[in-house]
Amino acid sequence: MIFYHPLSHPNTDVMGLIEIDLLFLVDGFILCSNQISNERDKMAKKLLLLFLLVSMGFSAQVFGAGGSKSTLLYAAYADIKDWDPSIAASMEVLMLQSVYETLVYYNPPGSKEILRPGLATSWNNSKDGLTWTFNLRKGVKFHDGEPFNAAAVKYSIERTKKIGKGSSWLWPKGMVITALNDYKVQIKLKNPLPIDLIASSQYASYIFSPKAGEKGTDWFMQGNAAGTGPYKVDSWEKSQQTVLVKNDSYWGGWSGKHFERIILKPVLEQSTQIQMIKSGEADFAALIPVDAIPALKKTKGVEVITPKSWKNSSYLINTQKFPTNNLKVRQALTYAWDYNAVVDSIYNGLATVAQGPIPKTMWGHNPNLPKPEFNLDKAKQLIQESGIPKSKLKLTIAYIATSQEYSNSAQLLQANLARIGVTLELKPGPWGTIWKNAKSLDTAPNLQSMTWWPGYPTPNDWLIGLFKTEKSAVFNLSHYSNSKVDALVEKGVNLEVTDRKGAIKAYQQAQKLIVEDVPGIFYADILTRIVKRSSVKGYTNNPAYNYQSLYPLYRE
Amino acid sequence: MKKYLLKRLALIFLVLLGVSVITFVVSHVLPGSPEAMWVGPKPTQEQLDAAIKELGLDKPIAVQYLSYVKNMVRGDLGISLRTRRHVTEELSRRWGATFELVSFSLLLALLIGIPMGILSATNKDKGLDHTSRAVSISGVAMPVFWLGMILQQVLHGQLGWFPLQGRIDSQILIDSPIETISGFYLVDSLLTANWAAFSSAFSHIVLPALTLSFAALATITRMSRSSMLDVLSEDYIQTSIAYGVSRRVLLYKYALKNALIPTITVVGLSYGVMLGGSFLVESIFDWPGLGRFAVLSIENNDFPATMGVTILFAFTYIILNLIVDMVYYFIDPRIKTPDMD
Amino acid sequence: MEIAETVESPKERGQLHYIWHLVARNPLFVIGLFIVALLLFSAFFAPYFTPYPEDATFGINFAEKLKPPSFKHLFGADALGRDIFTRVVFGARMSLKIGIIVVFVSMSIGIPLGLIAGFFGGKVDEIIMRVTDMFLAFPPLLLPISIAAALGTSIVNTMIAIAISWFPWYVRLIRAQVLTVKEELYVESARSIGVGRITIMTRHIFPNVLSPVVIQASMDMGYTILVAASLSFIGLGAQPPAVEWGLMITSARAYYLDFWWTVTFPGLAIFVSVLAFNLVGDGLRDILDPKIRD
Repeated sequence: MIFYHPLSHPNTDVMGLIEIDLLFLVDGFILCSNQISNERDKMAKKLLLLFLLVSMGFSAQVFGAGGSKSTLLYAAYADIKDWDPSIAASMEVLMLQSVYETLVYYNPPGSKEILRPGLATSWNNSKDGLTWTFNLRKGVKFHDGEPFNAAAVKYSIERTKKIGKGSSWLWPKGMVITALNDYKVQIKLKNPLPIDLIASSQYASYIFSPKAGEKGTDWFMQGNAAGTGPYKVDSWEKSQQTVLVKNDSYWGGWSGKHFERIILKPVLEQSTQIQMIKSGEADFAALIPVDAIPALKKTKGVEVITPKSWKNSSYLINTQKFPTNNLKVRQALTYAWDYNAVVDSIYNGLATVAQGPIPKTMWGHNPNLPKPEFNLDKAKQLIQESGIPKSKLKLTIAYIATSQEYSNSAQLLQANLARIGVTLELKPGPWGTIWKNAKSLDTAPNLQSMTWWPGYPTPNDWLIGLFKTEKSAVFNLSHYSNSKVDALVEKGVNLEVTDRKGAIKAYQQAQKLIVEDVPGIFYADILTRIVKRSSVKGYTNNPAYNYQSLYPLYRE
Repeated sequence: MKKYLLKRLALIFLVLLGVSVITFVVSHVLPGSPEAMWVGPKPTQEQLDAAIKELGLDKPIAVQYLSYVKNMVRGDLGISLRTRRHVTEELSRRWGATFELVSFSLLLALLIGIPMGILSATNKDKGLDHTSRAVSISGVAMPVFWLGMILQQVLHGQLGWFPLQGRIDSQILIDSPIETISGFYLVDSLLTANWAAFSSAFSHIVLPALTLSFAALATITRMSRSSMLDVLSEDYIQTSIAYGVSRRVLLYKYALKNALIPTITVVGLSYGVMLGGSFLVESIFDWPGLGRFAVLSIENNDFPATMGVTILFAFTYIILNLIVDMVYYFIDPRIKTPDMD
Repeated sequence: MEIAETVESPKERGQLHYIWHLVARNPLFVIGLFIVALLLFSAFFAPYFTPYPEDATFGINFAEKLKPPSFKHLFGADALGRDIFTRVVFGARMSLKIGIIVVFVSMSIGIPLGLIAGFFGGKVDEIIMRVTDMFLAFPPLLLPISIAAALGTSIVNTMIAIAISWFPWYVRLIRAQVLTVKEELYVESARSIGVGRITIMTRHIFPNVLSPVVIQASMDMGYTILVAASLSFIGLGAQPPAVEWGLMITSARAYYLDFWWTVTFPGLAIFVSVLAFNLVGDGLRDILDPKIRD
């Protein structure tokens, strides 16, 4: 932009202070020595300076922690925001899982036991699912020196529930926690709930030092931590990196191969993450876009793992907004979606076609649900059967603008719908905006993107979170209401602990009813993408955790 | 003079107030849900309701604005909804990063632009002139983000000369951290003789600075060249040459001085352009500064942060323009802008 | 015939001859004009000479996904298999549309305000200038970003956002010009004869402040294209399936390292267009205002 400023400058012989300085600067630059200069010399001096600049950059090359046996560098997609373990509910898990611990851990699929001991060595529950007892590990200390005991467990859970933020709703109201002795904790409930599963959650279940908890959220927010985990927080250079170091007195010991230092570095640009993982500057990259995966799979030194997860993506269909309040229109939409193309060409194979509102990997999934089909003729027929005139067939679709997967899928749907005479308008935006719009019916779109995963391993997380009747919608963005489904889900919740088979039956029936009502296009069970350097070993996948403890990792 | 200065300062206050009103209105018209960001990814309706009360979002907008101003006067700019820290803390932490980047870029633009423009003028229509004219014309047409991506690809990806992103190397932050004196890595590391940190910080700032300064460099080159040409063609210069005054003396004593005056206008403007460009450059290079913070805040409807960062940017820009005007006044008291009566 | 008519400003005679002379001496201006003409041609006739015109709307073809440049796809294909060359050409429509509308709206608001402020002076001038200062206090890009974020992502809102942040520059520019011209001889003589103020404003002052406006408008076309692309790059401007150069770059931003053509060609298009408008603006300045020369 050139802004033309009409200015007249009269000749003047006045030499002000500023002019002398400027003169000096330019003068000195052009003649860096005392020689009389001519044009060539000036050029040479300029080139010299440029060369110095470049060579300084050259020599200053220090490429991060790549390749070191003692340090691991993890390229995260954001800086750590919520340091308080009672509140954290997002990517902080990356740090929390290595610094804090939970009573129990959920095991990866294919394991003999569902759960394994963490800070609790054994546990049991009463038959009615109302009383839960945990026997705690002895001889464990928090990073601040305080002893780990039943009082600390009681304090941690109660504090989390009291603060009421984050995922604290995982813990039920009215529970009574008692420290029976120093190493035995008992939790009594009003209604039966799988406390063992909840206690294994990556959110809201961390045990921390009561002394630290007393210092309050502000203390945590300065980058402090006091857990029992294998790593301690060494430093936090805000927006730049968090450094974790080995906790020498970790109860699990340090025999075998482990990293001594871990750097969590927020790298917000995806292309930068790709470069870092390729060059070895980063050992893990959390934000690799789908379209870069095929090339990375072929890159030497990089390993791409794509295990199954409990995440799924869908476009929820607004059941109360015209014209998608018409069942035939909703059904037509599910036939207008090209399931295979989306999964193969847009997700590049990093998803599988879904079957219903719950991912196939979750227990309680109903395998007898009808398989989704892409059939434009059928879609067209259903549109005609709906009786809605073409001029009124204008739909809107909202999704998070930064997701290429959502964007491309929406454009594909738009193209296919155009072929059967339905207009689809794309309305992407940031999550805060589209969520607000989706919650109230007058601003809500006809189709809303949604990616979901559970707080702890249970089908009811979807069934309640997305499909339970809500007076004012929070995440039930299809504005769906079916009292039969509500009843079935409630039945399942109450049976989960005492009669799992019965719970499964109820949940499966609920899924069947939901699918018949078509409150969404359930299109993808997402595969996790783990992109790491091949020299880093010891990684095992676990769908229950977005991030796991980095303790088992080592470099070959 | 003093009266003028006081008048200007009063105006600055008024303008900042206007800026705050505009930004407040704009950020509250935003159809987002700030309470959603406050509570986290999977909140319950109760948590949302509690958040709305906590943030004061249920009060009428005028009341919200007034309480904002009241707090601002006390130095409290609220708490960022996205990062959960005090806005003042966020701003002061990142201000150093952005200010360092923009100042370094300006320095780069001046150090390269002025000599290039002058040499161009004194070698009119020769090779160097054509090159510099090409640079100055294309510089302002180049989309900043595109240039940044290309520089990253070429100067890091292909040639490996400069690091990819960030302000300083991770290892350096751990092994030889920089003592915070001014908040500028380059200055602080020099002052504490921390050579490792200095070279790391320097190599990290080059690419973003080159990207950011390119447009300003182009403008400054052009400005220097054109005003130098004007001055060189003036009668008194021609006369002096006829009288045998040495070329060099002429160049520095008379021509340069006059040629630099219009360049000063451009400095103020360029600084503003670079402040704006910092949004894009900081995003690409993961520079932990105000620009990136502003973009993230605006995108996420984090209105306390947006208000804070906007007011800070506006304030910096206004003060800079005031300084430029003052410099003008001192250089030539006869130059009066229309406001200055 | 009023006496005012005979007091001409020194620009009328021999103008055409002079212009021709300048144009011939100013090859860059000609190049700029040529490129602008090319852009206009692309905008109007895009569907007729591009190989895959359907790719500008719904031409999704996964078989061609992210293919590099070849004879089939001159500029390669994007993530949905669409021809990038076609989309770059169609993108000219969007850029020109945005540029013209924004400049027009900015001028429509800014010029009258500037005329009023400069001509009437006094309190009116003060108020207008203070309000203008408030808008000008925002560093470039900050205000368009905020407004675009507030209004929501769409092309119309982008245009509104840029126009709102840009019109103050016209106010300032016009006002400065008016102030200079006001003192000139022919205006004095017109007033001394008693020609009405409005007449003076429209008949005498306006045509003579026009030349910097025309120059500025030309530069602003380029500037608007840049800002619109920057907004799209951040994600606040045009949205799919609109074909806009900035949007094309940001869609490919994450993986461009492996697929450089998705970003290079749209970027070049932006660069070349802005360059063209700048060259035209420069050339116009040489022609219309020979006192200030490059």
